[in-house]
Amino acid sequence: MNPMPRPASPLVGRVLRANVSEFTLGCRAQGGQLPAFGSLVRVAADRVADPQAVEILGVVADLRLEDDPFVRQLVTAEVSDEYINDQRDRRQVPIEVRVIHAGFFDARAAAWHALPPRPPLALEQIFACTADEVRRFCAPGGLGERAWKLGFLALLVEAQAGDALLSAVLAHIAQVFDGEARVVFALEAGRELARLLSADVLRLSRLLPQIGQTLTGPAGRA
Amino acid sequence: MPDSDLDAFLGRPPLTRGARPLGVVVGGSLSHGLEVMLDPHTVLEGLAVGRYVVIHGQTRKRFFGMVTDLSLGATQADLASHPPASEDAYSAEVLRGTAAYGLMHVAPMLELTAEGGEPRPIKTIPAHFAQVLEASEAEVNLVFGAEDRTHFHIGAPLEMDDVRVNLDLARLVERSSGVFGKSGTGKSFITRMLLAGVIRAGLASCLVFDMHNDYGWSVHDESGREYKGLRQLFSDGRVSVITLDPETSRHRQSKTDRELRISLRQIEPEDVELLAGLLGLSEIQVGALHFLRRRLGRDWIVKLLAEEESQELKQLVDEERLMAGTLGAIQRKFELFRRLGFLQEDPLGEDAVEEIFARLNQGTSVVLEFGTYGNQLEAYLLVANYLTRQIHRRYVERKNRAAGGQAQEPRPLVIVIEEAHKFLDPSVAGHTIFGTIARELRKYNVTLLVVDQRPSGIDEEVMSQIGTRVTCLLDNEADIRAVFSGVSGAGALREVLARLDTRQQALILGHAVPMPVVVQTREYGEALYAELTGAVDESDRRARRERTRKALYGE
Repeated sequence: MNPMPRPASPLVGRVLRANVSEFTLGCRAQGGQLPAFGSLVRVAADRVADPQAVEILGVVADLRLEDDPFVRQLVTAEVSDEYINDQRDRRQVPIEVRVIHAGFFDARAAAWHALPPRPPLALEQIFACTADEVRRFCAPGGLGERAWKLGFLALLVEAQAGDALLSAVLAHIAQVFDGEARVVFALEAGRELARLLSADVLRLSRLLPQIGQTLTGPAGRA
Repeated sequence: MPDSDLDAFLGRPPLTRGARPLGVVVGGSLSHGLEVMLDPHTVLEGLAVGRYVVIHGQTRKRFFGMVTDLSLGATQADLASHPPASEDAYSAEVLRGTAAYGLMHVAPMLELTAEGGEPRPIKTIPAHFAQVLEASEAEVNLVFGAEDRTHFHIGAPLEMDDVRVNLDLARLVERSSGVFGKSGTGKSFITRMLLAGVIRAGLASCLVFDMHNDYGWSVHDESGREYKGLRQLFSDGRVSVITLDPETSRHRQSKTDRELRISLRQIEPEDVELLAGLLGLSEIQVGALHFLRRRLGRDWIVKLLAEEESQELKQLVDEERLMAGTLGAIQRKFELFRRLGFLQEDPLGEDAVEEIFARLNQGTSVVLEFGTYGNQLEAYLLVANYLTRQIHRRYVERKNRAAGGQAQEPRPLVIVIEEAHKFLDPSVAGHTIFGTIARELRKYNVTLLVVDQRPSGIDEEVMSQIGTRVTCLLDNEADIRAVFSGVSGAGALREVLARLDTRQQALILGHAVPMPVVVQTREYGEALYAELTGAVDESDRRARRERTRKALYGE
């Protein structure tokens, strides 16, 4: 049972392994449809344990392409582009994507910025988050609610997310907001990070200009 | 979890919808005030010392306080070594309010309960992270009360033009009070406004020693604009103007009610003693004055000023009861009295002091205009001291008789003196009539309203008796210290006082206000005139007529 409307969004892959704070998914190259570093994906939690399954949201923290003996042979072989593309799509070894949990939607579709009660099960399908889902996850929305929901940043910091990942995720989220909302989000997210990293002034002095540049640069404007 | 759910869960009283907190309490104490960390959205430059805030406590209490200082803080000292680059507006905006933040120091003053009722002085403080909001108009009005006959609208709190700060005039006249401020900060305008309020409310009669002709008929400001004096404002006879210098009053087209002449025979050594510094009288010479008064009788000054030396004086010198040099010095210094035209050997007419006393007791306030004598401090001190001693003596007599059921209580009197530090200097305050009045509180229904630009020159003991202090801008450290002597939590208010505008702003603290307040004083102009003159209702007129009738014909 899934209480949320499920808009069409691209299937990214399936869960390879998981724990409460992160999971790894496996996928194919999919002709350029790989999830982007810093983007948000969602996966259903364990439906058996909890019939009102939650949707776990995560941030793509790493993408890894492992080699195998066949690829090692091909890498030096002279074969056609068609052959190379075919091998890319049909590799036996999947691309591994590390996803850090950023929070979850509960059965009422309320966003929680906390680790999910249970990790997703193996082979569960993973989808890219739609713009609407990202908005519901971060933007103030409830009655009398004025604050942006930015608790996911604490989870990322706790999971040792680097400066590049923090910048990338903010740039991705900022894309779903227009005009003033985008500016407000950028500032509020920056402030949340400033609070979280207030003890590390040196890191902040590197990170914030980077975020500022990302948000106002091509990625942020996209 | 949304805040509203959390509030419900924790049982916190919800904030007024739409009100955005300025920040949260992060430290402090009851004695030193509270530290408030500003919200990142609060524009530091939009705040100012002297503004009011309300702190929402954990229970349904609200703490009403005043902003007394603003400062900048940082979570890490390192931040000062790594400021954002000048072109990095994003980092600056993000860090401002988070890692680098504004701090507001708030002096909590009163407690407002959810049930309403009178605000009470605080005895506790809100806990950590209590939210701090800008005080609403309704809250400020609740603190300063509604305007009525005895609550006089003196001005508005800073940046709250629609809110009225109402001074409790009954409490103002109950104890001595003071108006302080540098020269040119509007002390006279505020004093005139306060006096107008007291006269309109009929709470006391006022005796104003008007050094610079600021209170009687009319006054001009620096730009030449004319303002009505008390006599013009209350043309129904509630204010009389008595002049020491009729010629100047005529030139100024000031309407006066009579001229004051003082007989030299009525001057006592105590009246001259206050002038010792100005006349250069030594301690021996002051002692000699008393001796001369005793030996020569009431005519002592007349005899000292006589062109031909009297036999009595010669005898005193011959008998070596008095050194010729001392006598000569006193006579030379007393030459001043010849130049004061209002001092006469035998002035005609009825006893001026008795008449002033009668007027004051009938509820008529008296403005004593000095004309050009206002430029002679000796004249001002002499007359103010002389008249006050005489009036005070009559008040003491009347009060004592009233205590024995032989007379009516004397009507409360407020004596207004300018350049007060000359009367209340520590070296003289102990034995002048003004020091006595200030210390007596209202034992004999007489209080002082001192107007001064050098409060540091006023005796500390006298200052501690000043119930209400209205203070315009002061920048001398000693003067600021003097104004706050005996005021708890004064340290925080010093910053407020030192940052007042040079005109039309004053810090009021003490007996007549529930808490210290910085006011933008109201305009002394047509609106005030209309309010003051329109407020003379028939009951006031009847009460006044009745008092006059009793004074003239008895019960």
